[in-house]
Amino acid sequence: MGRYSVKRYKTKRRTRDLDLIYNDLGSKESILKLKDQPIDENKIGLGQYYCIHCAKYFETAKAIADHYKGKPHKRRVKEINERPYTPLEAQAAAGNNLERFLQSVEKHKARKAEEEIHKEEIESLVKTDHPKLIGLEAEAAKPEEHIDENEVVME
Amino acid sequence: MMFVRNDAKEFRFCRSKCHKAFKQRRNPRKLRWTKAFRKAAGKELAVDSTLTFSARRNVPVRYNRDLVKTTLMAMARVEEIRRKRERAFYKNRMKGNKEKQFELDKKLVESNPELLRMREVEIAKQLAKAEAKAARMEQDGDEEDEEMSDDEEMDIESESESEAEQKKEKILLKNKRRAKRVL
Repeated sequence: MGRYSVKRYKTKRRTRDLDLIYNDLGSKESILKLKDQPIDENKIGLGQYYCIHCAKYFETAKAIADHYKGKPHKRRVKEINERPYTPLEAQAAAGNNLERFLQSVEKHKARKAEEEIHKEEIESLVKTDHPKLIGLEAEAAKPEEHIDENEVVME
Repeated sequence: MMFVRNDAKEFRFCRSKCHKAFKQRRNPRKLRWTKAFRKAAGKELAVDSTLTFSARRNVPVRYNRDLVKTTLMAMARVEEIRRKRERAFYKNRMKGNKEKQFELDKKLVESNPELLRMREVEIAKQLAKAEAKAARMEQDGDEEDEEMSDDEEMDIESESESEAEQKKEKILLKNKRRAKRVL
């Protein structure tokens, strides 16, 4: 057993969990917040190139574009498309808090249905490094629709 | 064992096995030995009104002797009903397995007719062997030895029969596994 395999799983090095990423992708505001970060010299690439699905910063636009094409990213996207596992599910399996768990499942289904409607917009938002530009374009093209979407997200 | 994530969410583990799996980011819904898998895959009763009583309620209840009494009685009753329903669920899940297995066995024997004759062939072989041995003994020894050899012969025969049975079983098992793989 190599040291790497041990170190990788130390809780000290724990990376962002899937259910947290699921929440990150939950609303337009949170996506925009992560995509449109202020310049921070402590972060990789000044914090300008962030992949939300993989919770990872990149140095350049090319690096992140290559990452989007790669297998690890695609695998991650697939994992996040499912309902993330939470302690609530474990409790429900043990016969505790079942109703709350069922509610969370319903919530997930509703969210999936809504995401299906705004699929393209969300994808373009997630993949871009300049979310502000996209927002401006969308407002210029279809201002009415854009407002509607905002309302849905706020609900 | 408990792990508290940096957003203050608690994760409790029943044993180090679970903790290790968590650290390796295994999804409990995909590990066959977890309760979460069994419920998600429909192996156990997952959604039922008897399972909804146990829940964390964040509103404290003022102590009331009658309430406690009825609750304690209800707990036993609910548990009883839950047991019965789980039993019924299990029986329903296993329903038709016997017929299915029987059909498979039948198919196996029909497609491999030599299995039926296997035992006869084995017994004939064993008998021939025993006879040859007895003949050899007769040539070697005198009268006393003959009696002994007769007894031995009997033993050998009974052993050989059981061996043949075992062999047949082994062959059957192997073929079953193969048949499953094909299916």
